[in-house]
Amino acid sequence: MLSRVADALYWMGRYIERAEHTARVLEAMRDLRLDLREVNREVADEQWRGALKALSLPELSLSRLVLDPAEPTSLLCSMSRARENARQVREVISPEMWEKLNQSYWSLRDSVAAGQNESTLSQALTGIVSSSFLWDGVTDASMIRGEGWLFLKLGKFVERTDGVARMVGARLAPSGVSSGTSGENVTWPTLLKSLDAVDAYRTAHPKRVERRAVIDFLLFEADFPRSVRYSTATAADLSRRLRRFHPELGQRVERCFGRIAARVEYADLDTLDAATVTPFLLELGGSLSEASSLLQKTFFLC
Amino acid sequence: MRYLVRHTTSYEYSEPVSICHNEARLVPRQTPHQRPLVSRLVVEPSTPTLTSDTDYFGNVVHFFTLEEAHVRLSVSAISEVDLEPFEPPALLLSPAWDGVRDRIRRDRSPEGLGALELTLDSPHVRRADPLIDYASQSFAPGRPLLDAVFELTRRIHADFAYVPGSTTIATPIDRVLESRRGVCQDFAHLQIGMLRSLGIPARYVSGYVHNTPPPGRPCLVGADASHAWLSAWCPGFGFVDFDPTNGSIPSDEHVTLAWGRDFSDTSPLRGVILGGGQHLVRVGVEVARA
Amino acid sequence: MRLANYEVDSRTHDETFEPAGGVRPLYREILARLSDLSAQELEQRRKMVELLLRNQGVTFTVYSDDAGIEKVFPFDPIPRLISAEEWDHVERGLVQRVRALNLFLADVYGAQKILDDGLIPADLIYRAGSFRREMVGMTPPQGIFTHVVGTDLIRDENGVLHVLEDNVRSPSGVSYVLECREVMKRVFSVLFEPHGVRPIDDYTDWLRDMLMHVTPRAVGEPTVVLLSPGMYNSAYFEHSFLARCMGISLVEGSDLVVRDGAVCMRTTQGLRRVDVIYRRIDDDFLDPVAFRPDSVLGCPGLFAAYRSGAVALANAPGTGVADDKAIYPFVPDMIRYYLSEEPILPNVPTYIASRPDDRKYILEHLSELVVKQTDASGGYGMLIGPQATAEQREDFKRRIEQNPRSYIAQRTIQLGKHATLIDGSLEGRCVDLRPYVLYGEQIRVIPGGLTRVALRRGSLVVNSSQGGGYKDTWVLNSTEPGTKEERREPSTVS
Repeated sequence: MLSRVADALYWMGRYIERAEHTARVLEAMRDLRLDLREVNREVADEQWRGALKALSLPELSLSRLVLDPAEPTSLLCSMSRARENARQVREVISPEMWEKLNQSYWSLRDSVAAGQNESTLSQALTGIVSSSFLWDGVTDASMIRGEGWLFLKLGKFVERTDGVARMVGARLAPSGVSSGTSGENVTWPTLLKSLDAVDAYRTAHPKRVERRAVIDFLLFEADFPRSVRYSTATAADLSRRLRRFHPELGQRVERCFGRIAARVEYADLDTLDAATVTPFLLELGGSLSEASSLLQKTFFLC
Repeated sequence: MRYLVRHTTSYEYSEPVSICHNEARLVPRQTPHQRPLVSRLVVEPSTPTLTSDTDYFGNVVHFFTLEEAHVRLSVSAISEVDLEPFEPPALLLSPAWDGVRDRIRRDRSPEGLGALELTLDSPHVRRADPLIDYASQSFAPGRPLLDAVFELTRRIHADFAYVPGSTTIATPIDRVLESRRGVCQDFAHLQIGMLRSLGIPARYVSGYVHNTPPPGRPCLVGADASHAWLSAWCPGFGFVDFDPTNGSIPSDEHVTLAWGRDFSDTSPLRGVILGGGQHLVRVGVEVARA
Repeated sequence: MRLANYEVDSRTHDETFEPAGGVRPLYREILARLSDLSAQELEQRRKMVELLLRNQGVTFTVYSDDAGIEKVFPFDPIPRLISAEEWDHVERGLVQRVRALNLFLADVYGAQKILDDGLIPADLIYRAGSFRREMVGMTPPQGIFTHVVGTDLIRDENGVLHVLEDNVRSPSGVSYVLECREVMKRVFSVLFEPHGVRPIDDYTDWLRDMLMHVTPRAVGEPTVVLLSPGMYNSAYFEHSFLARCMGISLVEGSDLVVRDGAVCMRTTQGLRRVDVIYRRIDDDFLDPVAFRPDSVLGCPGLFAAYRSGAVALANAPGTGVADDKAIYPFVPDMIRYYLSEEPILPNVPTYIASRPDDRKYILEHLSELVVKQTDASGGYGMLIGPQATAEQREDFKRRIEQNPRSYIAQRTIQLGKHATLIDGSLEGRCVDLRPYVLYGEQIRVIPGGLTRVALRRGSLVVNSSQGGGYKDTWVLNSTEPGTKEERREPSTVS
């Protein structure tokens, strides 16, 4: 496979996952601000800023972050980049995948044309999340399981690990809301919501939403598809399968992702608070970006 | 006369060049009066891929690629050639220029077709009326072709000032005609343009001139760098060289490297690089009697 | 859909209707079926076709303002029919023409006998910008220069097909032909029933076979790639479509690198040698070392690798000299010269001013002819006789007399028309035809090709950028439709 094509697939996976993640976080944060508008504006604003920082987004209005074609970090631009990447690799993805992404892009453009108000923004955000789900489905149902599929999926799970870890980290940042305050009651559910984990968490912990349990769930739950553990284990599995195509070159990449998964699986953090989790997440972020650049250096920069 | 020519081009880059591809026309040609003895192309850093080919005009072209990062590149061509002195052609015995002009349009022999091609426009030389206006006083009807061409050569030498740096390779010849200044390349292009505008075949010649003149003869211009002149074609005489920069007919002091329609067919070294940032070029030419 | 009110333009040839207004026999069956559909139904299906095409990304890009706008090439659902007999004639004519053009290229880049023999004035070749001196003395793999040709054909007032232009560089449009046939089969399957329509879906197999045939290396499975300028090129859809159908890599210049004299592509497994490049970029941009130094689309060193025989290029560089405006008038003579055959498909009647008889004719008929200056490009130096003022004609007369070698003249042709769906009813619109010819182990012609149609009333311009659309082109297995079911009463126009 051409290095450029593999690179485009990897980044397409990352862009689409990032768009989905960003859309979900932005929607959760918008709801939080609405809920706390009267009660505790300070907490809401702080959470909003923390989330933007975790998403590496500039402090702009929601509408600009979603639909501004001139703002390079907007969701519209991310989707457009994903589509451009897809267009470059049309000969290796299935026609249905292209069609799906193309349709999602056009419907987002239609929202821009329709004018920006509360309801179009909300529609655009849910639209992006469900487009990403559809895209996943179409991909898994139609794309050949060659190395291209593996690169695409690796991009997705590297991005997902990073996104979840950053959100948890942001919640624990020193400027975050300290335990016992009134904000504590809403911010942990918001974190779950922003990672689409509310129902799954409830099934595992029917009693109440509680800091320790939320962190444990989002980081270490083996069966929740958006937990750090699940994502790193999937990435490790994908990198192992890459060996089939690259017996020699793939070795180091596989070890790198395998180490990360093992580190997460066998992590032993006793307190699960900022003092233990923050350094753990920092280390995770570091090794993840190392693995990602090793992958790129090995396969894309020939 | 035996000469040793050393032509070195070196590039220094502010940032590493990761890969470069080059095309060089640096090997002297075989002509009736010139015999190349030895030619060597030395590239530093050394390259494993030096291949050669012959281009449309019969010039030897070398290709080479450097695939390792480098901040300096030097290309030296070292050649030894024998030049045989010869009597200048009997200019007055050449056929009338206007007869030659008319004949070329009908001649379909391979030689005639080759000559015809050299009466047409080329990338750096476009035929134009102002060129005819300047040249026509030397071209009275019926005048022997080579005699007229040589007078034009001397007039250009007399009317135009040799001013290094006054032009670039992109300066068109009509500008040179207006400003009456230029360097050897401009004068060669200019006279070629005039001859072609009149329907006379002319080609561009690149090479070197020897810089220590025999006693009593003036030093030739263009001695420290590459030189350029032209050849006009005349039935029965073949291609005859003229050097408008020096107002002379080259004999055994001009080493011929390559020829073509104009500079673009003969550029000694050209290439494409990846990376490199800013660069500094140095060109050194030495022509010594061996 | 109503067939009444169809206006037959008496000045042109209409392929669907006879001059008196009756439907031509070839079209009776299909028009009968079309008239069974209501205008609304027809419009609905036409819209469905456009939606399918847009979703599949069968678009071209128009750069009008800052951003490129993607447009669907307007599609007309009324197919164009070509009888088996006529197609046989066209096919033989195209094969003959492409053989001659290839021999011509081998000659001008070889011994140049045609110039020695004075059949074509040498200066026409030497001053053509498309004449690549770098190609002289070069024999491309299998001796083939023109691997893919898209010849433009037009019909004159008498219905005779003429060659308007030989596109031998890098003709595009075939993806539209293949995609629109697929879509037609899905949406208008009812129209296909009575006819045996020759399939075209072998085209990409033929194309791949042809590309593999020209591999310079005897290896089991040569590596073939399609070189595209990238996704901002207006024909990018076609490039990725063809690559996908052939199962080959779509590469850009930056994916290629020349190592040890061979062309390689950068893959996830390291460098992989490339044997054949189907290039869809112009000569100028192929290689910055050999051609335009400012090109970033090509691959440095590619041309030297090609000359040394390490890689094949389709089409060969320098083929443009064969479809040059100045060379076109000589193609019929070329056919006689190289093949000792009479041309099967005529040129648009063209007069060469350097020939005394032709010159006399041109000067006497200036008001009826289009005069073209052969050493100028674009519209510069062109006289459209019927529209020119007396003063302009006088000026051209002088210029032709002074410099006859630079001028040719052509008869103005009334482009043939074809029934086209306009706002729910049929109207005649100008059409041309571009069949695609592949030159590999044998010469093959796609049955049909791209029929472009000028959708604006009275327009002669079939270009997509100026209101042109396209139709499916059906070459029939036999001329007798309706073998499957009973013949219906032919529809007529009152």
